[in-house]
Amino acid sequence: MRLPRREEISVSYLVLGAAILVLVILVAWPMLLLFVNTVIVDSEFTTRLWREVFTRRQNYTALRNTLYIGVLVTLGSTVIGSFFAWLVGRTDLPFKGALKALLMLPFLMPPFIGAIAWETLLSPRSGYFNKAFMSLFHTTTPLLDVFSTWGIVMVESIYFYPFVFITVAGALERMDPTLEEAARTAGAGMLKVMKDVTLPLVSPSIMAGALLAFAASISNFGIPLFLGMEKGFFVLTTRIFIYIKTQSASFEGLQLGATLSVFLLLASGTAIILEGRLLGGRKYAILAGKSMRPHIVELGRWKPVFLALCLVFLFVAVLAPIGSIYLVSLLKVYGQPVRWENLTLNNYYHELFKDSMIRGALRNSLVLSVAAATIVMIVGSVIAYVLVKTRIKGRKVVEFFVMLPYSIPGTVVAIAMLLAWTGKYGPNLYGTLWLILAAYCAHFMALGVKSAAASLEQVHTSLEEAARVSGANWLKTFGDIVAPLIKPGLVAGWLLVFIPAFRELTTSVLLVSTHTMTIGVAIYNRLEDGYFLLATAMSGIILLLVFVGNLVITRVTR
Amino acid sequence: MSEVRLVNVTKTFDAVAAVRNLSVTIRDGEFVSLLGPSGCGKTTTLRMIAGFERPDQGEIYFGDEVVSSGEKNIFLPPEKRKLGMVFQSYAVWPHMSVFDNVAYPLRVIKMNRGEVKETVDHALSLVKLEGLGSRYPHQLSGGQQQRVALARALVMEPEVMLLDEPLSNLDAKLREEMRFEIKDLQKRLGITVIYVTHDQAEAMVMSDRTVVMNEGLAYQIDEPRKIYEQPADRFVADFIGLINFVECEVIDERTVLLKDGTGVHKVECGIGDFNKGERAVLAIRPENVSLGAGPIRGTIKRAVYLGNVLDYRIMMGKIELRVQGEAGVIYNEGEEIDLAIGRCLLFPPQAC
Amino acid sequence: MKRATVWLALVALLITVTTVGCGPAPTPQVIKETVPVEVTKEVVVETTREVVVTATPVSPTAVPEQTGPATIMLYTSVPEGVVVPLVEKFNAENSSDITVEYYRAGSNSIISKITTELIVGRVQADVIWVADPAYPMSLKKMGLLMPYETPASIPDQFKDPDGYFCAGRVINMGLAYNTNLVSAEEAPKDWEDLLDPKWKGNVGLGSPLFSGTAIDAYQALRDKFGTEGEQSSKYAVYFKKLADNGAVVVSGQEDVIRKIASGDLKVGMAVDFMVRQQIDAGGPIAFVYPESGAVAIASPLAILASTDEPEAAQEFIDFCLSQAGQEFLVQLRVLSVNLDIAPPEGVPTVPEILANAIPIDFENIEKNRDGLLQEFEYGMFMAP
Repeated sequence: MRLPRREEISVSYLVLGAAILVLVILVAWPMLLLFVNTVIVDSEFTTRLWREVFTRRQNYTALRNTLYIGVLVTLGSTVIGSFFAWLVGRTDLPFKGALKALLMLPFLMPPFIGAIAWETLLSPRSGYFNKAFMSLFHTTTPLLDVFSTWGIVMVESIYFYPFVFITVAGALERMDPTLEEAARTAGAGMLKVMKDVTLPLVSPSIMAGALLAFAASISNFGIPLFLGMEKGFFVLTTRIFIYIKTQSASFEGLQLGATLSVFLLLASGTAIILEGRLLGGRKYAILAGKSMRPHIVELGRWKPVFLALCLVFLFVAVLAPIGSIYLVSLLKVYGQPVRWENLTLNNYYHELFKDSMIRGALRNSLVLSVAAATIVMIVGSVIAYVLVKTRIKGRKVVEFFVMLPYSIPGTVVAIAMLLAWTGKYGPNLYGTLWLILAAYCAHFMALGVKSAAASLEQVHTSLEEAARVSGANWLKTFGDIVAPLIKPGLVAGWLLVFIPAFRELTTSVLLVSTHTMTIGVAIYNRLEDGYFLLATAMSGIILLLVFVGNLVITRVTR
Repeated sequence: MSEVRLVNVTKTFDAVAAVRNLSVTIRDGEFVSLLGPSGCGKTTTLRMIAGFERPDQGEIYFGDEVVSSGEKNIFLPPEKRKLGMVFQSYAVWPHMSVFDNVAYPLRVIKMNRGEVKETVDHALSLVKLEGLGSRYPHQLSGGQQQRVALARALVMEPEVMLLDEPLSNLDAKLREEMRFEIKDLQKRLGITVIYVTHDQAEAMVMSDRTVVMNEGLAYQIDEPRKIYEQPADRFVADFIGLINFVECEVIDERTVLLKDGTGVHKVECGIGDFNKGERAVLAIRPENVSLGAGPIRGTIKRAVYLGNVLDYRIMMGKIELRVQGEAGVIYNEGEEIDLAIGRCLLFPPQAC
Repeated sequence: MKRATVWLALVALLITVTTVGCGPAPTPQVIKETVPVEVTKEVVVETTREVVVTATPVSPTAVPEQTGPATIMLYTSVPEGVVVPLVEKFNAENSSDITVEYYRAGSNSIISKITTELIVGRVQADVIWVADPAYPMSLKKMGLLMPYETPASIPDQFKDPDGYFCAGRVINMGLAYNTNLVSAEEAPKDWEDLLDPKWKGNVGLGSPLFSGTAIDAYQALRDKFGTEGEQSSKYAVYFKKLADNGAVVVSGQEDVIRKIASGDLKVGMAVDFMVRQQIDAGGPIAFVYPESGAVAIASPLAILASTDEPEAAQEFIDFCLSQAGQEFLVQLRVLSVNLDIAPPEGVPTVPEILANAIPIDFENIEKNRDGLLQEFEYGMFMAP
């Protein structure tokens, strides 16, 4: 192999160095401080915080609840996600394109808005579904109590199955169909091919999606916050939040919250290690050399059954909550029956034109999410380049620090940011958007790196080498060849960061102040204040914005 | 039983006809190639025989049994057709060992363990992979993976085997070897083979008959030699081997007139259905021009040494002819030589 | 073409970076130094009194920044339905060009926010107004409050003896019910009526984890009905019985009102003025002052010592405590601390309510907040 010339080394190392520096500043340093602060209080070593956290039984209950919910949600998401991925990817179901788009809708929906929506449908006393069920069957037992453990599991499964759906659908799309056809000619029927060939081959993707769902569940905050409080059901994220929220006038709440978050680190760390173990030796090259028509399973007379199943699921799990949000947002007083004379647009009018706080929050969230997505994709693609295309020593460490903030809950990231960037060790960013931006960038870096890495893996090294031979240096090659080739991947990654950042709640709830309100927190405050109608109107506006934004960006960049 | 018959088969994808009204009968124990440029419909034809595509119209018979019929809405799924198939991409399952890959069809029919072992070992020995059963596909070379695919297709001892460009991902030397091995296996086992390729040499070497396809139509179905020597039309002549096309005019039953821009030449040629005075295209294979003596004078524009032959570009007036001469006598570039046109064919003139 | 893409990306980055930089966010004007509070009470009172009396700056050295307009920040748990009109009225009417901005959230959010800001050394609040008097008591002990002048029209019982805070309203925790689902006759009349099995699964209360009013009510009712058990297994008898009756713990006080008004719950513990506001909005809900006494809380206003607009802060508080300000609050259905002002129609007077109210041990809340919360959680969710 040819050794790079000296100047090339300096350019590429400069760029990489800068990217890694960003990573250290945004991630490594705050995380380090987080740990240090749990054992050093007032510059003295102490185990007091740890003892306090480890001796409180509520914390163990919360840990158990977190894992319990996490495992059940992972199972639920995996079954739903894989099944629908197969259905729209590999069968002759009609309207597959539309079904696929609709099945992705829950990804656009902020989970905590989902929680509100489900409350309107499945509140044990007044939820629309439960009321219908109870009057239909003349019973006082609700169909499903959304405030129960199973309610939380169901709602989380509905909002996290898209992780599995996307990864599995992608794997099915890219899989060489002749692998399945070979089994057909070998005499295996459709079901047997699925069991013996399709399933084992996509199992790494199913596993990867399942782990994403698990990580999403254990780090989720909004759903257990809105649905778990009624029965005193706490998970680690809500327990950390309560620690911080109920701190009286001492620093202790924040410190205890930080200490408890180590519990969560352990849970998500286990998930990362598990992923490595499970997928280590099982990455097959199942990609087809050229694009081929996928192997389509003919459903035959089962077609209407599957289509009906799909439509019922879409209506009940995806569209009904969205519809309910919009319906409630049009009511004059919450709880009134939906009749023409009870409907009004005042809630929208209030949110859009009367409340300057909401306008500020919308602007802040927009600026923050655009900036975060852009920075994350630029820094992320350089880091991805290091991970995918180079053999630089220490890139495993880089990868660890990229993955860390994503696999831990936003609450913890926020605490780390508060510790690192509020003047004790450098600039005091408190009360500015910079603090929230730093938290977003750290939290979402993994998404940027992962999506850029996935695209980079598809760019054969020879394409770059051809540019280098043509006289372009490393930087020019990256700009002229690599960047344009991975552009679709980068745009997808940008959206992947933009959408959750735009409606972010978990991280920002601890970081906002009057002038740096984000839209997620604004809705949360509305709910806490009991302005349920305004919260649903605002949610409706956000849903619309995210949906339209997603549509426009994918159209424009296609 | 193992005769495969296609009757008026038509398949359309999104209003583009992939296969048009194709009828062909592949006889028991015959090796038939489907040959044509990419997009000619040969792979679609094979996939219809395999049962991965349904013909829109027409019927496919295995022996007397209808396996696909567009009109009668009959369709036998691939797993019921008892075929062996080898794919261009090998399609060797990466999550199974070599042994498991080959054993899979046997396990589908729930053969007992002992028999499976015996049969798989036999199949592996047929393709010269003895002792590699415990390996995984990623530990094998491309050629070895292809042999695994072949063994998997053979293990059920199918009467009909379908091969979809199985050798196109192999290097030249290995490809040459495998051609003979596949042909040899086919002869030994007496199975019917339908073989898709775009490589005419492959089709020539292996086939009993070849179907030359283009734009979904079968242009000619014949033995390789006939296809080469008596191509049905200009497309087939052009696609198979090298050939020169020269415009000419029929002057009597045995002679055509050739204008080269500087002079005219008479060439003897059977005119078939052409009439006197009609314009036509004369097709001359490079090896059918003899050099050193003859009525026509030409100049050597380029000479390329190919080992067994010399490949010349000769200017005959303003017409360029490609000629292949024996390596014994070498003419140099710029040299003037006499030449004679031997066996040749006549086609109607075409716009293209 | 391709180069253009790269440039576009760079430009996008630049734009976003600069937008963040020059957007509304960084608000340098809000940045404040935490001034160590070593000033003695007398001195501060002296200065403020001087300002109040003269109303114009006399000594530029003593108060260097009092010329020109001022902006102050109010952190409050007072619901938007009250605080927004009040602040708007003040911003529109004050003659000194003072602008009040506010951050509104539940009491515990306000407290944890101020704590965080104390840690990072940037307290943005100038004035706080939370429900629970225990919190200003904590802040006073830590030396973080600034004493201020209060009008004589407000009785001393609403004032901190040292002048560090003064109540701006009286809020009462009592009983509420949905008028569509529950008739006035069968509606609960006293606290113990909530334990009636006919309300099983349909009683709501706010969580002390979120609401300051809720923790005050918890302390009061806990003392009234007693506790059982020891150490970490201690619980309040009344709340344990509520839990056994399937009581539903929602987050904030506003959420209780919403759930009762919507019919999701039938009855519950609720705050009086919020119920009155909900009635105004057309909600089918009614409030009952319990026969054995409500939990009456005089919700305090305080100025943080770290403020650099003490005059503006005083002026805002003056407005809130003034006759006009208090009358405006009563229009918004809140009870006034000025006993001369008549309560809203059909509501008992403040002295009547106070005479009958359950005492609240604010000292204990201030000292033992965390312990109370654990005890609440144990009794509601964990006790066998």
